[in-house]
Amino acid sequence: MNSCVATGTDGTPKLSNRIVSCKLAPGLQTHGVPHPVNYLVAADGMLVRKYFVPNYQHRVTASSVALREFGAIVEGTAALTLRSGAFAAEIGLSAAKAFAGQQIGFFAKFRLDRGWHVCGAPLPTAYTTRPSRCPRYGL
Amino acid sequence: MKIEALDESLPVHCDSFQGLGSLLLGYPFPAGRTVFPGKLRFQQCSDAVCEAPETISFELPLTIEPFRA
Repeated sequence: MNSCVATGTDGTPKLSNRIVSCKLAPGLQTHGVPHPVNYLVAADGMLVRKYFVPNYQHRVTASSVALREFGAIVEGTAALTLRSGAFAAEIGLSAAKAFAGQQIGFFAKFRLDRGWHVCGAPLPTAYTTRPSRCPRYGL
Repeated sequence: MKIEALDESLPVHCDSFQGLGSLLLGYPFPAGRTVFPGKLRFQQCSDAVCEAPETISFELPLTIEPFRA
């Protein structure tokens, strides 16, 4: 990540309170293009987290932050419900609309009936996951 | 989960759990309605039986908004 505070020709900060990209050479008009960052600030003013992406053309959506931080999904966003036997999953995106270059959230909520389980990471080192084949049963 | 016959413990997911991730849309990206295809692979087991592994395909719809000058 190349970031800095851009300065004008007289050396004074051009964008003193912003993070800017200095990947582009000094002297180019686009040197110091503002670099987008989302800050999550608590009610007491403390900075909780920052969402920073390396490419200035990309943006983290508010819906993505709300999903990751609070489990919230934008109203009107459709979620799929998948079910098989004792296993059910609700899968969806954090928003129904977005612009090119935006980062949106993805969620998958799983539920199993009592007495059932699925294996998951971390598996013991002696275990490996492989596709199963049971030709006799057409599987 | 304790497997008594093998005297081993295996970490498993049960009851409710969730996963979160993110999708970064390319730039540029054509405006309009698009779908993201996905596959969910899993194998559900109880203490007595493991069902055959399953794969469920799904599609997540998303509308890409056009930029306005």
